[in-house]
Amino acid sequence: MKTKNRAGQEGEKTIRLVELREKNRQEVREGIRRGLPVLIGYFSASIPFGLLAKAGGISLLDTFLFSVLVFAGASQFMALNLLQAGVAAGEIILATFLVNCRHLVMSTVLAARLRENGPEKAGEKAENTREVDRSGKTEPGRLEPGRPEPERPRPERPGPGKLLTFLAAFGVTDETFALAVTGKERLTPLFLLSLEVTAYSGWLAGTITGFLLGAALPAEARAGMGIALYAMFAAILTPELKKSRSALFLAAGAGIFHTLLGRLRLFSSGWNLILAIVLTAVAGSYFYGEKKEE
Amino acid sequence: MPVLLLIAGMAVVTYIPRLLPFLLLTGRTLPPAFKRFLAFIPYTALGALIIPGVIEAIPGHPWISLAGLTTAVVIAWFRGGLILPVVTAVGTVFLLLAWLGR
Repeated sequence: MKTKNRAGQEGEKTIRLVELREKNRQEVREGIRRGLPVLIGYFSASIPFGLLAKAGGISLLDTFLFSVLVFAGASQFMALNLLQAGVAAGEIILATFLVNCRHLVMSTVLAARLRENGPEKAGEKAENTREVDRSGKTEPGRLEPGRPEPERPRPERPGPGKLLTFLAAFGVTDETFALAVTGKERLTPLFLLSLEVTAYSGWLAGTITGFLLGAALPAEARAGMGIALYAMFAAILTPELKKSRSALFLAAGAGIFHTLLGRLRLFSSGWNLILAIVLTAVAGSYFYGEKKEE
Repeated sequence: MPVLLLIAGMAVVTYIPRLLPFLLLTGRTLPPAFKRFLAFIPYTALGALIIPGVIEAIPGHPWISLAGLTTAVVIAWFRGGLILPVVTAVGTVFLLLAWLGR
């Protein structure tokens, strides 16, 4: 804070930079703190993956690459199962796609939250760009075909922010999503990314540990880890249930609907999950929306 | 290297659904009804992720799975946090399995 005493524009600029850097550092710290439980959960959940991959005759490098490049728990376990059953790679990839379509929903929520908060570098500017954007939309005819895009001040984040978003998109999982949307009022790309990197490191470390040491673990310990991620989901949800009754109805409704869909066997399990999440939210917004207007 | 090809293919199809909404939603104003719908997703997602999958969290032991989940909920309700509920739930399940094994 010594710099604040220095007058002049140069000083002001450095102050702003220092403040920004401090703010960013805080976002990173918060993200890591928020991500620690997933690190533990992922570490224990990916140990069985490493173990099973080794048992399935996959090399350490390939096992590691699975976790590095795919970073999707359910799909990775599924791939091991299907590989063992002799299913062709193309079919496994298609199944993976179907299972992971649920991330469309989660990324949409995250993208909307990030969007709401605008560029992380300046809160006031975000308001301006939104207004400009809206006026641009009402009169689309005014845009000249020759140079429509660069003329308009775009609400998109500048270079580094965009890169952060691309990276943050890679780290979207059920768990990081759940933590990011419940943990913080203002979601920023830096917070999201830090949370995800923390979770990711747990996933990678557990994969290698499982491959190298998993067989040495007692059977109870291996089985006991199956509960870790569910326990985490429950621990994320519980404080929300305390806060509002609608959260309880929505969660229970989705769970019941998901169970029913599973029994009906009309769609694949990937679709069942998506339908349960989306349709219950639609029903909820219809029900609670009506209530509010009364 | 068929496994490597499989990994690459899986990497692509997992990244696409994750990235697409970020690309599509930048620079758009969302209608309030859609925002309200999105605000409900976290709860429905958590509900559908837990139920009914938790029953099979410990294969062959649905009651132990439920005991683990209950432990996590109780700890989270009274003490809050995430690490403590998760560790306690894993510990409970471990003890129950070990006890059952004897």
